[in-house]
Amino acid sequence: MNIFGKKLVHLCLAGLLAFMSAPAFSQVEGTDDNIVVTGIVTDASLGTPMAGVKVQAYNNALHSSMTKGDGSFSIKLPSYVTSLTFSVEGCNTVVCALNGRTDGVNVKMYSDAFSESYNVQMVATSSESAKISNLGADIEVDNQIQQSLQGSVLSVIRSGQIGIGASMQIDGINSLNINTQPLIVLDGVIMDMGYDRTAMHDGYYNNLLANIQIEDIESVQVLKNGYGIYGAKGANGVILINTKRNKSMATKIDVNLSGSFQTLPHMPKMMDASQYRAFTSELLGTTGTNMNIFKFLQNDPSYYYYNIYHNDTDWTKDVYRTSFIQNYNVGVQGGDDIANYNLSVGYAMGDATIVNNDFSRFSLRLNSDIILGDHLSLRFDANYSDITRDMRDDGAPMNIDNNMINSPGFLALVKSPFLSPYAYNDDGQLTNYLSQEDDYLKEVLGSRASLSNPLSILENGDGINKNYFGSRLITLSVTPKWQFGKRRRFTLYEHFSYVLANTDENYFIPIYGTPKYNIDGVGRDIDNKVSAMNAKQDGFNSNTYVTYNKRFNAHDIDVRGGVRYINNSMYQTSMSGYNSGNDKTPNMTGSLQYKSTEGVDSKDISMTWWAQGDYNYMEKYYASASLGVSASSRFGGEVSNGAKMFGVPWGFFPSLSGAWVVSAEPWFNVGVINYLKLNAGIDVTGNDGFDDSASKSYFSPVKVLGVNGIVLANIGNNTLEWETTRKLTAGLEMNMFDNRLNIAANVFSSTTDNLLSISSLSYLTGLPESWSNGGSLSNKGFDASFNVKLMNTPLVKWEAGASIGHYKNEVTKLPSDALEYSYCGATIRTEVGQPVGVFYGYKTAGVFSTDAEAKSSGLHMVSDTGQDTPFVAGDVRFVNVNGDASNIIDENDMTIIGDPNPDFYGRIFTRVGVKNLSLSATFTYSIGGDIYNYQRMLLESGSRFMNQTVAMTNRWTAEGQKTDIPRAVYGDPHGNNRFSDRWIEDGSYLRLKNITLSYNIPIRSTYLQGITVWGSANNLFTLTKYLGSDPEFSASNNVLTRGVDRGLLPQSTNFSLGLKINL
Amino acid sequence: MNKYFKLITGSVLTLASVVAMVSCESDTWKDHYSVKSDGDEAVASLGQTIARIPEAAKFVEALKSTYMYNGTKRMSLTYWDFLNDNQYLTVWLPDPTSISDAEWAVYTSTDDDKDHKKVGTEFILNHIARFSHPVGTDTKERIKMMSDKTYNSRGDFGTFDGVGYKENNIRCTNGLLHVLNGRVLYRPSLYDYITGAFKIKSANGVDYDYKLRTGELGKWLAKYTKEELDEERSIQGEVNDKGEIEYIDKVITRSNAVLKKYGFIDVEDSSYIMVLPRPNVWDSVYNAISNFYSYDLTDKTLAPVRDSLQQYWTNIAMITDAFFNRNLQKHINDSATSTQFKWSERMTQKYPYHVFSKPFSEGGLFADSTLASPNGVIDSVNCSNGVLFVRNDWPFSDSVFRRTIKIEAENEILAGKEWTTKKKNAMYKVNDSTVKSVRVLEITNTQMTWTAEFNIKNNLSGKYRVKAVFFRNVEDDQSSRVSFKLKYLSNPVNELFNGRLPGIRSLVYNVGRTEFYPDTVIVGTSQTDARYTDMIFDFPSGNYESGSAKLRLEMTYVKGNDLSQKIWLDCIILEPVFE
Repeated sequence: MNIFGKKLVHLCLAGLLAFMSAPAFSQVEGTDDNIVVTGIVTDASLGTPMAGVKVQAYNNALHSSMTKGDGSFSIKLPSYVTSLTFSVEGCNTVVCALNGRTDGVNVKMYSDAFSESYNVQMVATSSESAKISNLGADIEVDNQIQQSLQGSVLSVIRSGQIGIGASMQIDGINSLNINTQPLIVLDGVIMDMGYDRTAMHDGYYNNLLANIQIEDIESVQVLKNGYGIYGAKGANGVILINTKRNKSMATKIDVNLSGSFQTLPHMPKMMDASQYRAFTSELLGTTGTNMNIFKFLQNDPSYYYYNIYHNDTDWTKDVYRTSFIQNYNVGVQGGDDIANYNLSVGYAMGDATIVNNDFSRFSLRLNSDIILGDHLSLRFDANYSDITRDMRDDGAPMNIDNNMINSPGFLALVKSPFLSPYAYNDDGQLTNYLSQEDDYLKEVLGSRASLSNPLSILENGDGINKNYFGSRLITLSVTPKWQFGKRRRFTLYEHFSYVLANTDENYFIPIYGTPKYNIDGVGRDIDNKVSAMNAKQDGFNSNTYVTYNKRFNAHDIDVRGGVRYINNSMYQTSMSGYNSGNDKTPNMTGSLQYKSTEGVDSKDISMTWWAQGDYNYMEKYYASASLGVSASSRFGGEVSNGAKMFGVPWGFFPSLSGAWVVSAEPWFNVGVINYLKLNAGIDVTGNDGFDDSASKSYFSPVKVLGVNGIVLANIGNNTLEWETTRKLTAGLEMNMFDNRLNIAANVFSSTTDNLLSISSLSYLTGLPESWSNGGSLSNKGFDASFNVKLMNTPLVKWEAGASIGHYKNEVTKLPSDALEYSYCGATIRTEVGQPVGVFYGYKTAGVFSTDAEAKSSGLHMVSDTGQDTPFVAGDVRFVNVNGDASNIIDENDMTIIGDPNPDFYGRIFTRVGVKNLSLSATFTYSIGGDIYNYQRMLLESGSRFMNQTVAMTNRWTAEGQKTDIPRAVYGDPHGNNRFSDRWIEDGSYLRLKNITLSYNIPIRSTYLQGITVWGSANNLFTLTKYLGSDPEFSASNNVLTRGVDRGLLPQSTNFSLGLKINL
Repeated sequence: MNKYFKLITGSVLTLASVVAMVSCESDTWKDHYSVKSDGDEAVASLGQTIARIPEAAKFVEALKSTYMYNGTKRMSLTYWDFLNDNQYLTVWLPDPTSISDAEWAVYTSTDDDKDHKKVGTEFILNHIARFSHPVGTDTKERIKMMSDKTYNSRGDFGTFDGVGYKENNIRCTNGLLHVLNGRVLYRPSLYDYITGAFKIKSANGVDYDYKLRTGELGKWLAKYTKEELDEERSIQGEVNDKGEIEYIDKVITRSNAVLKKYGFIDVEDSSYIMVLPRPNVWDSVYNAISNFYSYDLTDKTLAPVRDSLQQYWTNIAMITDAFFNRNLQKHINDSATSTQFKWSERMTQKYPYHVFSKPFSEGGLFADSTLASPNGVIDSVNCSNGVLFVRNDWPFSDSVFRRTIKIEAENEILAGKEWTTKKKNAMYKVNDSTVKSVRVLEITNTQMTWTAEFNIKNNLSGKYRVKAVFFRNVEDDQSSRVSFKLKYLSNPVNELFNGRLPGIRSLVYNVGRTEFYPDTVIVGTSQTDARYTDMIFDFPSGNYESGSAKLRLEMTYVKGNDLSQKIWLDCIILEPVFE
């Protein structure tokens, strides 16, 4: 442990002692029962009285009663009680404000087949929770978060790979260059999700949430405000994930079995062999070749090469497939007055819809609560999961012209359909041997246009020492709890956890079936590549805190505070080499050429002193305050904000919230409104998600001419600090029409200052860039949801609801005029007055139909060497945005052509229950977000020898032709396919995300508590005008790559059947 | 309350109904990923589109009845199949009225061409090009047809090889169709014309025949065209009973060894100007030049090829500067460089051949014949890959083929034992202000007389002026003399001639003790033998490019009185004598 770490530990202990030695609060408690309230509780569907309903003073179990056979109740209450809660098994809890009434407090109870109407929390802060259902095909929680919380969270599933997870965002974008995804807190442990880490395989992300069985998750909660206690890590919002714990002494065994069938993904319609041959034979004419004879254009069936070049292959049929996913889980809950446990074991396995890509996971979780004595108890949780994957590169390569294409999925689209995946023998018979890479353009272009046989990458790259990914997640959590003080109002917790994520990955490009290629800085005529990576990410998390709660009649106080210490480290070693010699020896060996080794050895230590207090008066007025004081090894030593204490800089992150239950006021008498709670808050939070060594100067080892040495690798910025986000929130929760309509809404306005940015360094430093703080942005927006019980009869329970989220992001200050980022051929620009990362390119106005039309426009290009090139018929008519009289189309004509931020997003759901049968459907939607369809740009560029979509049959080919697709020209000398609004599409969609039909078989015996059979379908249909395979994707975790569709494996429709047995 | 509730319920139900009704995806996808078939979009193949044009019946008939060829192998496909296939082509549909019935009958005659190959090559493929060639108002394109001929497409003139359009830019599923007012005449290449494979009339309506003229230029050129199996590109099959490899796919390459060196007038990827004398002049010039390529009549090893060699080198001598690649000219109006021009030679200024100034100006190589210059171009023949200018004379100098021969003495392996053993010691370097690092033969013989034989390579029959270049160390001697003679040893002709230097003292210039000076001795300036006072030797036969007949010069060198002096021989030079 370094000096900094030791200082933090000492500080932690000192603070803890100081907190514990604080004077105890008074422990007087009032018991003044001076009013009697009466009323009747009825079943909302039958209208009949309900007996046995528990009636209780809101948030005060000391005052409770029970309804009689006629549904009536009578309860004595202190005068400060303003609301009652009504609860009974099988029904949703109801909160009813008294409004000064002592009789006639009549309440209707709704079946728990409906969603909960009340989020019973005694705090001023706002949040939204969702219970996680395991009736579905999901094997990780990300999909459930989207289906349940879309609106509060903008959740985008990354791709159709199993367990790949979702990119998430809460209340806008709070950063430019560092993580913008929310903090994930799993059972109180802050997870290092590694958002900035990439896999060796293109298009993948190691989603740690996939290591958690969905059956183990109880609920997910999104905090809207009041998360200052998370200090410099909470600026992007916080999602709390809680796993299941035993709640009763009866032993319960849950068995879940499910199987899911995935259909073929929805792919663009590509040209068939005939269409592609015509396209190719046209494009050849623009390469400058003067040849008249080409093997693939010989159409004589007796020609030796005829069979090789006269197939009609739909490569997607060989590369994509329908697939099956299985998920098995057994959970056992039980315990006694000494110990409670929840033990589950599960195994999931499935194939992706692309061949030789699969997923398997073994999981084991134990959550236990043990009482060690009168004052001491212990919570012990352990989780082990092991994920293995076969995988390949996914999506279109980011740089199509310099990189070899290794993604089988993309190759399946662009590979010539007149070729066969399998080779022909000398007799012209098709064999079972895979074809080599294609060579039909060899005479003209050499190997430049040669594409791999995707099946070769799939088959010859198969094996755990070739293209394999393994991830093991171990979490251990020990939480002793010691209650002390009079009436044990003080509780001391120590929540210690250890997280180990071990990842290894092998990457292999086979020799057979792939062309030789060049790699800048490595060499020419590279046969293949071998890479291996091993990473160990471990984290110690200690949270030591004391809680105190006390009720003083109408005053209820809950105070807690402590210190959180996090020590995360990451060790990673990766090696690469080339030319393995054959496809049978893919391991990293000394015989490989151009070998290189890279590694990461980083440690990140942070400490946060935190305190939080919640107060409410009469369960009507709420106030919460919290403060986090954070230090981190990432910060520079001389930061300008915060304070320097104990030799290290500290940031202060306070939160203040207030809430008012208006409906509990005696004067409130609005018949249709059953409950109305208003809340507001202000939070100051930080974001320290930048490079953990950016503030430090350091050297890296280097080997030059065989001699080992070190070179300066970073010039530290000792003023580097966290980004600071100040956020104002306000919201309401409202229930109306006898609790049949529930509405929740929140508005927010935030500003983020000290944006972290990467700026160029002087060449004199020998280093390209450095980190610094500068710039500001703002977010304004809202989210809202409603839930209505449409039908409530004894037979039919039908509810529906919807949510909506919206934010408007705006950059208000930057260190320079604008920041531009290049990705997949796009220019992504950030400038003041605009949202972060808008698309910046050329505007177009169709295609020149005739030479005369092109000539009259006067538009032309001037190259760097001064060569003047006029646009001609068949070229795109670019808009002369800057209006220069010379009509030159150049970078001065670039303008903002799209904004990837959606205008609105959310979900719509409905659920119908008919006796034991239940049907639910959830739609998700996104409206107004623009997508740069990079894949379509490649598939409709008409400038490379790659198969194109059928749309390219409508390309301009003749003078006078009216079309919006320009001519096909090899190399695109006129830049018709440059980044322009041709490739920007409306990414709006409405998707039937899930529809589930379940049936509870009415069986109940001593050993069998219930059986539920269910069937569900995911992604059954999507309404969209988007021309890509899937409007929902996330190419990376970088905020600047949002909306760039690289054609990752799209999500498919899947149909699932499952069985849930409760023993 | 019920009112509000019903309103909300109704809204939700309506929304649910709309969603339920729209159970399929937007038409945007289908519309985008589809082949447009409305409006002016193509719906038929080239063949189908042509067949819909009533006037094109003759063309369609030809398409359907004519089979395609892959090299020399007939395919089972007709051109009709080809135009209905899926390769992108551009077709210029000829006007059927532009070809007479008589012409058509010749085309479709099966007397010598039962597969209608001529129709395929000269008519159909002459109207089809690979790739897309739309015609716009600014089109200026040279288009290579599948007949391998290249024609100009001029959108600004509305013509294709000078033929106007009836209609153009008709889109088809597999290409573009233009309908012409006439037809595009198949034009032979220069090679086709010279070899007589295809006759066309000159600009003045003359049929020139170079195929069988003296020297059989056309026939001779054709002899050097050969088709070879490209083993690397061919696919080998099994070995048959005879031990021969059977090829599954043979790739045959065609090349012409002569044209490979002088200009690919047999292919269409470039444009040439060729200059030849009219046939009668060709004959007379040929006969004159052939005299320089007489080979030893008595050499039996030469007997089988003597005439061929004479024909070959005479033809080569005549056509050496006859080829001009138009694509490679700097500015053809200023000067034209023949295909034999080499910059390296040009830069040394030693061989100022192959460059002709202002060729189109009066008196220039390509200029028309005028009264002032009656030997200029009298006619021209437009071929597909260039133009042949026919002159009234052979406009080149003998110097093109009659070159100075230089025998570097130090490079010779000398006959005679004493020199064989001493040749290494005889090497010496001379440093001079004008001549640096000249390698010479040092004559260290202590005898007064020294004899050596030198091989002469590549001399022609005819007259040469013979010279030798000597050096001597001036400090050694002021008065000694050198006597020098050469003897021509070729059998049976064995002429003897002597040369004697006028006096060694004449070589003495400003004497420096360590300096050496070169000088040239003209052999044959004998003061005693009148036969050789003209300094010229007439070789009765040559050995040009003939390895079997080497001619030799024997040199006898006589020192002066001072036997210790060192003399160096640089080279022996044979300069052709032009009369």
